[in-house]
Amino acid sequence: MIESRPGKAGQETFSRLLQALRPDLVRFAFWLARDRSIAEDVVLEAMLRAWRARTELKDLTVARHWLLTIVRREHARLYERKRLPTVDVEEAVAREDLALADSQDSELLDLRRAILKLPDEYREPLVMQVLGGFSAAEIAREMNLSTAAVLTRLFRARNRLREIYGQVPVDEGEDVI
Amino acid sequence: MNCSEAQRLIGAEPERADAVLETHLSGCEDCRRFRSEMQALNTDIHRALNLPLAAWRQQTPPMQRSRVAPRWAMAAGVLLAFVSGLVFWAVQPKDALATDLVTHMTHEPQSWQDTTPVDRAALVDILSAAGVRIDLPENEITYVRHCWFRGHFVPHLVVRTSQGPLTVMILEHESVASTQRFSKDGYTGVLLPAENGAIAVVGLGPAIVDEPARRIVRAIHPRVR
Repeated sequence: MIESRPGKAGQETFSRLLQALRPDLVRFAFWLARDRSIAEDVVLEAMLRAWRARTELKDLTVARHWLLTIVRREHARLYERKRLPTVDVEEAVAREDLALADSQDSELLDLRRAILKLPDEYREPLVMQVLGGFSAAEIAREMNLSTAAVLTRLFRARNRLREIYGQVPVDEGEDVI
Repeated sequence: MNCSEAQRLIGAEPERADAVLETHLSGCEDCRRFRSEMQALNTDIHRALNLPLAAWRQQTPPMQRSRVAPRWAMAAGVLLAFVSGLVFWAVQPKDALATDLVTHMTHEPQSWQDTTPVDRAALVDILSAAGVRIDLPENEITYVRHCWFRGHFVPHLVVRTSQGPLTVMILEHESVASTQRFSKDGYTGVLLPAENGAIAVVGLGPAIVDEPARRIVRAIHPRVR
C-alpha cells in the first residue's frame, strides 16, 4: 500500500499527484458540465478542496478515485449553489465542437456529440462508470439512487448511443427508482 | 433469465462476468451478438470520453460567461494559464517564470479591477497556508486568491500603490538568485529572492515597480507554522 507522507515531502508528493491527474479530472468535469470553462472552474475548486483535505488520503493508489469523487461533488455543489440554467444541448454541442474534434475520425466526433446530448441522468452515470471507473453501487451512493436504477440508466445511455452505429435500440422497459 | 433481462444487464455493464448471464448467452445467438456490439460500443465510448486536451490549449478560452460569477471566471483563467504554461515549464528557459507569471495574470484581468479591501480572515487564511503574513494596511490589499501556479497553490494578491495596482505572487517553490526585472506583453515586473522562495511583483504597463516592490517584500514575513 502506498501511503501519503507527512510534512513537506507529503506536500510535494501530493502536488505531483494533482499535476499528473489533472487532465483526467478536467475530462471528467467536462463531460458532467458540458462546458470547458465550467469544467476548469470545477476542477480548480476541487483541487483546492482536495489540497485542504490531503491528509485524509492515506493510500495514494486510490487518489484518482478520491479526486474524481471530489470533482463530481463540486460539480453538483455548483449547480445547487448557483442555480445555473439548464444547458441548451444544441448550443453546448456547437460551442464545444472544437474541443470534441480529434483528427479525422468523424465517427468518434459523432459519438462525442451524441454523448454530449444524452440527458444528465444518463450521461453522468455513464461517465462515472467508463471514465471514472466507478462501480454501479458507488454511482448509486453518489447519486442517491438504488443500484437497480443506476443499472437502468447505464443501459439506457448505451442503448441510445447504439443509433450512431445504425443499431436499433432495444426496448428500454419501465423506470426503476 | 430472458433476453430482455440479459440485454439490460449487458447494456448496463458490457464487461460484466455473470454465471447466469453466461448460461443464457450459451443458448442465445441474438444476445451474444448484442453483447459483442455493446462491448465494441463501450470501447468506443471510452475512446470518445478521453478527449484530446492538447486541442483545448490551442483554442482561445471562452471569456464571456454571463451565467457564472467573476470568481469562477478568474478560476478558469488560472487553470488555463497553468495549462498554457506547461510547454514553457517543461523546457525551462531562463525567462520561463516571467512568461508564466504574465500568462497567469492575462487570464485574471478581474483581479486588477477590484477596489474593495479583502476580507482579513481570507487574507490570513491564504497567507498562512504559504507560511507568511503581510504587514500592509488592509485597505491596500484588494484581491487575494489561492492560485494553481506551476504545480503548486500560491497566494496571489493585488496591492494598491502609488504606482497603481500591483500583482504580488508569493512563490514558495521558486527561487531566483538575485533580483530580476522583466517587461513582457505590456506588463512590467520584478522577481525578488525571499527567505522562502521568491516573490513576484508585477504592474500593468510601464509601471515603475522597484520601490513599491521593495516595500511590499519588506512587509512579508514568515509565519511560525
